[in-house]
Amino acid sequence: MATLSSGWAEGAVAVLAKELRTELRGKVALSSLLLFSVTTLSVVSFTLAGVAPEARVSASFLWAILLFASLSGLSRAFVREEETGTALALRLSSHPQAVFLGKLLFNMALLAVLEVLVAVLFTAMLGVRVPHPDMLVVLLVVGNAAVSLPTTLTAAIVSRASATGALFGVLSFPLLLPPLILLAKGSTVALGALASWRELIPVFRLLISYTGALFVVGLFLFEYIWREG
Amino acid sequence: MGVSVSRGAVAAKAQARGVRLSWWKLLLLPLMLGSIAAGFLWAPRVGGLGDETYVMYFHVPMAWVGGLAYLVSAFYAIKYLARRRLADDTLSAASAELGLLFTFLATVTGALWARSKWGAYWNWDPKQTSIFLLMLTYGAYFMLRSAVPDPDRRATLSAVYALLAAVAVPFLMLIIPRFVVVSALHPSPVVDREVNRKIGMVLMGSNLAFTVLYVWMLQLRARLQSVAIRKESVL
Repeated sequence: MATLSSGWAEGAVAVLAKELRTELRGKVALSSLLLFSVTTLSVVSFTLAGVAPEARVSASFLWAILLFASLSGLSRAFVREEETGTALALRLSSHPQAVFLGKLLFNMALLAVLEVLVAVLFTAMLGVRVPHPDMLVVLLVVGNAAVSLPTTLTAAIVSRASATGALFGVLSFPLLLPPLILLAKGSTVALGALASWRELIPVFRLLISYTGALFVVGLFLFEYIWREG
Repeated sequence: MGVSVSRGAVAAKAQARGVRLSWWKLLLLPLMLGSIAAGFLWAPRVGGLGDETYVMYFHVPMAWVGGLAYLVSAFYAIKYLARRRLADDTLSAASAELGLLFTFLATVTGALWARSKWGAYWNWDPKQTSIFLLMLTYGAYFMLRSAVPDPDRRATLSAVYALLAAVAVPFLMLIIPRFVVVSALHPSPVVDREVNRKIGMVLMGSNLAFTVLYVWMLQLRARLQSVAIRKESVL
């Protein structure tokens, strides 16, 4: 058996593999994320009736859809462990940091699938023109980490409390607001015709520093959430 | 029998402690009276801004205490995670309660001022947005606390959440003024030196008065909480 300290990365990959296997069996998180985003997109599409919205409006639609879809599905990773009673086994068999990293990677993978789907449907159903696809792709990649990280942490907290559904959104929102403001502003730039990378640099700088700071604090604090009771 | 005697002794001691007033608590009376009197009577009106200026001497300290209470709450959250004593959690929660109260008061006084000066109660000015977020965070913190019945688990989870939010709040204060608002409406310090000096003095005194008030309220709240916990354990 590998020692606990050598197993951080391996353990994280093992947890990720376990999560993916469980998810593919039931597909609860994935289907709730996808159905939510498709429903919202179609409502927006009906309302707009073929008229492409301006950059600022489409940017806020994009991130509002991704936000609410995340809030509907990303808590599954931890809540499921408590519901099925498997949390204790995982607690005994894995290092807390490995669990955190594994679950984070799993949520990032889920969100990545969602982002691809939403981005494609967004351009197809709403007729949004993307003059700088490269910028939007980089924003979605950085945004993936910036959204998955706070939601993974709050999902862990919420899974140890009662009334998880409502609590997840309430707790996540203050932590998600800084990255979401930046992502929506960045996307407004990227969806505009006259975008330049220079305008996006301050957005990326703040996004990466926020995500980095929260990652370090979260990695350290996760053990307290995970080991409690 | 022995239990009832020791309980009586504890009660007597607590009563004696409650009656004795520390010097800094006595200081609060002249400080608060002085701030109110100086704020309304002695401090100058800021040029261009009318009688509404007076609210500043109470609005600014409330906002200051609202922020300070958050820092104190985060400090005791760290202390709780390090030492695992429920007394630290009690202080952390009590400070957060007071923080919510003072941010709410600051928001209301600010909104009243904004209505008469900017024409609307709410304008999404950077400072309004930041304080709104601070209130949301406090709200989320208390919702989390009410959703966890076990005291130790409640203490741990809420301490972790308070510390995570402590990363988000300063970033918001950095982000909002740069990316959200077109132009900041909130007044900045006045330039006139003589006027400035007087305003600074009144504000400083008022800040001090509100800080002492906060410390006192924090102490009372924590003591009340520990009495409630002791009562629960006796019953």
